[in-house]
Amino acid sequence: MPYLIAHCADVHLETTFSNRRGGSYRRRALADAFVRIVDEAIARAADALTIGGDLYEAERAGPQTARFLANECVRFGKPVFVAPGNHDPYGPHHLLARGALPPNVRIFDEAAWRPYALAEGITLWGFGHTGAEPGRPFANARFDRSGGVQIALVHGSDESRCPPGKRATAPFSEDEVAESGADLLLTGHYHGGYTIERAGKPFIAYPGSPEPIKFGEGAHGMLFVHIADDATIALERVPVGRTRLHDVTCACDDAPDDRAVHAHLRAALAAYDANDFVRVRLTGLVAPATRIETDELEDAFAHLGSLEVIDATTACDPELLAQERTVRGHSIADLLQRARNTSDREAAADAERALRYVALAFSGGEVAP
Amino acid sequence: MKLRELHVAGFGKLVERELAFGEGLTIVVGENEAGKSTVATAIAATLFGVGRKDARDAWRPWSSARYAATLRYTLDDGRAFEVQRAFDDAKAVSVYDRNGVDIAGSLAIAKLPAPGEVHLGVPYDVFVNASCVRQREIDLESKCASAIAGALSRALGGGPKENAAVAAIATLQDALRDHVGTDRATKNAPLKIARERAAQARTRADAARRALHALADRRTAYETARAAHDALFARFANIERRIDVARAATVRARLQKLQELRDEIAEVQTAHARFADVADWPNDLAERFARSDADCERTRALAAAASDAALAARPSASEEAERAALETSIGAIDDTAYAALCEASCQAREAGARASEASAAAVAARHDGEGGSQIFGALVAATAIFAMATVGFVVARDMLVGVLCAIAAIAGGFALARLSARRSAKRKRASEAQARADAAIGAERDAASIVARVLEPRGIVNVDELGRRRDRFRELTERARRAAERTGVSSEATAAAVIADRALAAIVAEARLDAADERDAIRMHVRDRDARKRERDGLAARLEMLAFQRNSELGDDDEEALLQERERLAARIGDTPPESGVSHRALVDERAEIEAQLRAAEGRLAETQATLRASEEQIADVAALDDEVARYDAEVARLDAFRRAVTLAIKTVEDRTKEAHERFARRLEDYAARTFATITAGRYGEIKVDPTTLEVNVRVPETKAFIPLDRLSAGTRDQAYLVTRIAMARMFSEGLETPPLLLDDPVAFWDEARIARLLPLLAEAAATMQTVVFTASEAFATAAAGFGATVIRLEAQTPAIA
Repeated sequence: MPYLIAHCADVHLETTFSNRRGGSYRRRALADAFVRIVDEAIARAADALTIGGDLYEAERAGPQTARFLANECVRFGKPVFVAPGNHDPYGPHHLLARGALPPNVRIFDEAAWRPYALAEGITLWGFGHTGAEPGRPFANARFDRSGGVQIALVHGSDESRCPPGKRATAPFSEDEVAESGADLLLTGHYHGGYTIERAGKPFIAYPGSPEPIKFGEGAHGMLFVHIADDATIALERVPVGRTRLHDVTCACDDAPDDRAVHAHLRAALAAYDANDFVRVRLTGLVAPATRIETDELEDAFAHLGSLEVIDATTACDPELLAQERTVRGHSIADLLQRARNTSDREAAADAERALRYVALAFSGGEVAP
Repeated sequence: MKLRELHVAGFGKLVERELAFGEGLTIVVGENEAGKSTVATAIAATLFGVGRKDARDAWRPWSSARYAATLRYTLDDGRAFEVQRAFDDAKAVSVYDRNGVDIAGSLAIAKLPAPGEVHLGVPYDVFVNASCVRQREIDLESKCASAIAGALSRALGGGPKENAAVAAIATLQDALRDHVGTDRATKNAPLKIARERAAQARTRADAARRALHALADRRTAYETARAAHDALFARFANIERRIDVARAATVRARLQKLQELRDEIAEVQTAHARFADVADWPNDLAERFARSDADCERTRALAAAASDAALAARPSASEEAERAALETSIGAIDDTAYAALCEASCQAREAGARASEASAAAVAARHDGEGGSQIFGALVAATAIFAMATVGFVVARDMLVGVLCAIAAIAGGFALARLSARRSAKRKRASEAQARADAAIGAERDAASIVARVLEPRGIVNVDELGRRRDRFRELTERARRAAERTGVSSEATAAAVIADRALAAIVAEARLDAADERDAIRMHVRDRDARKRERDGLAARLEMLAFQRNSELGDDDEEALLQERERLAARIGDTPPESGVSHRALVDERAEIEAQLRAAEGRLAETQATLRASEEQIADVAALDDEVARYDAEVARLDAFRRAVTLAIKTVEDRTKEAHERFARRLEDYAARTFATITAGRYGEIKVDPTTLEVNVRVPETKAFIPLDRLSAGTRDQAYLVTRIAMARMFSEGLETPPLLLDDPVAFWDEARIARLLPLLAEAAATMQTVVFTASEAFATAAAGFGATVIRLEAQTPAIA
């Protein structure tokens, strides 16, 4: 009898957003995404729903979230397996540990592997985060005791593919997973989803967060795991997100004034709507004394989900200025070199900003954040 | 810049002077007071203006000439300009370009045309101090050192001519102050305020988070309360079932009991109906009959006994006669009179006794008074004898004996006197006793006469006899009274017997018996019927008791309701047997206890639920608060990044400025040292110039130490400053417009050897920088002409005083 598992992770209900506006809208979108996950699972008659951690953020989630999750799990009606992650570790205050847990929900509430027979020949092994960092979950894991298809569910970090700036939690390597005897690892933590195959079969699967949380995360959505009668496994990625994050660069070269900058920006953002949360970087040479008010620009595009403007324009070509045999030229050359030579992103950004400010100060322009 | 022509309409002592400067070195030679220094000042004034009113007045023409000058010059890039300045008005400046267009407006600084500052890139004071060396003022003014150094640094790679690094640093510092502020600032401190707001938002978010955690605790408390409530509810349901089981058993037992009672009542009612004949038999009739019957018997017996007693108590005839006689004799003597008689008789006896006693006392007193006569006589005789013996022995002159006799005689006399007094007292007491005896005898006689007056007429001897007669009279009187009394009692008893008989007859009639029957027969009928009545009453009481038991068994229920309850309980619990050894009461008590606990648990549950709901309603949107925190953090990060970037920018510009200063200082040192060594014939080959203060130090060959120029001779010092000026001016040419070097008689105090060494250097400098030397020395002018210098002879003018 084929078996179908719906898998999601990193929903991050009640997460926080630093945009000037749109935070509550995006949180609502996260909840809606979970509703759509359940909708998809019901529509495809999934036999189980697995959640690979970070379903919500424990420090902000309250009773409303608990009721929402309980209702959705009840609505799904079939077994729901939750492996808590580092943002929703299992403890006495875990949302699904409070009150009457829906009978179809099973929480892996220990930092240890626990089996659950999904069907004949299919075993789900779950590992939950608790208050303490769980270490390497696959260090001593062995799943080959009962035979059949062994599926592991844990919130952890594929340490060889950790995105830049992402904190690793419950790290594991591909080899460790293989040695454990798991046929498939359903996991979460990385918001950009991907699948690792081994011997032509899906082996490690990150669904990604259903909705984008930060810029540049990668693919988002949920996964359907098809387990055929002959134990072959196939994965299907289904997007369920509503919101989109875009990193846009808007070249404002030769803009004579702020109106021209505005026009450039309007053209660059013409295709986006309320579900688009855009971070735009204004670049290029603009006329001296062109005032670019980022707050004003962000307010001018209120029809977007939100707009974050990074002003990286310059009133003069720093490469040319750096050739001057003047204090300005030498200073700009120094800062250009500093920005190019450092591996520290923050230091490089500081140097780039300092370069702009030096050019502005020497040209009599207004230096402002 | 190269000066081409100067036309002075009027400036100080100069009037209508025209000077045409050479390309390189120009020597303006003239006598003292010819106006050489005034020419130098007029050049500077035409380029930069004369400044404020006092300076303006200082150079006002002595004559009535127009206070104005015209200067033509070309810049390094070949552009040519003509400046026409009227010194009375700072704005009266025209600058014509090659095309004759007045461009004064485009060369304005602070709204005033400043062709010198714009074209040379340095302000007036820098020009004057660096390029315009006045006579005897060859040393640098320290107050201008910073400005000169700044200008030099710009000239040597410092920045665009229109904006200096210093201004850029000021702009950056202003931006830092305006957009970031300082930690100590209270008003304009955006970063500090953003941090404070972030901290406040974080505090609010943390408080909301704590409330959220507290909510979890409250939910745990609610779950605990609910679990406790549910457990109690289950216990309550269990005890309810057990009570139902017990209740079912009880109901069944009660219905069984009621059935039994109903059967017994029917049986007793049947028996009770058999005693209908005595239904109206009074319950107390038998008792009343018995009591009345007993009364009849008793009163009859009493009447007979009283009659007998009355007959026995009646006095005899003799006794009646005796009582009548005694009443006649002593009847008049009542108790008071009898008492008085007794008193009088007693007084007579007492008075007789006293008379006898007093008579005896009088006899004894008289006898005592007569008893001492012999002793008294013997004492008189003895006293007389001793008296006489005394006389005799006195006469006989036996004095001793005489004295002794006299003493004895005196003692006898005393004894006689005492004895005589005693005898007189005894006689007095005897006469008093006699008088008392006489009084007692009189009293006895009076009392005896009173008694005698009463008794003697009745023939009674004494009072005792009278007493005996009175006692007999009383005894007879009492017997007569008692007989009369018993006769009355007998009559009353007879009347009571009659009444009792009538009462008994009434009861017999009430019992509907035949009064004519024998008393014993009547008595038997009464006992028989009374017994039946009692049996009937017993059955009635039994019926009542059974009814009471039934009512008690039913209580407030009715049997039909009990039957329905039995059916209902049977449907609910089936045929579950009741628990053995557990009473219904115990179960009810247990249920009451559990119910009380359940109510308390319900209260706690409601309380914790209300608290939970209230807390849930008060929970803030933590995520929204965290959004706010994140926004403030982002603002802080933005401002902090700005602060870091601006700080980096300032430091970079400052470092580069300092570096430029240092570079210019090193070059200045190199150039000046080389020149200085030449003009000092190699004595001083090393110079150090402070890039900020422009203080010059030279190394002394003997000590190898650097010393300030002040410690050298005046000539050497002037040499050093001159070469420093020349070096500065040359260096200006590297980055800014090359200024003309105006030297006002710098070699006035130099020896010829030094001048000879200086001229080649001046000629060399003039090749790249126009140099105008004002001097009074014809020799110097001639020598300079040998190096290709243009020589202008300045003739002294006689001013026409206005």
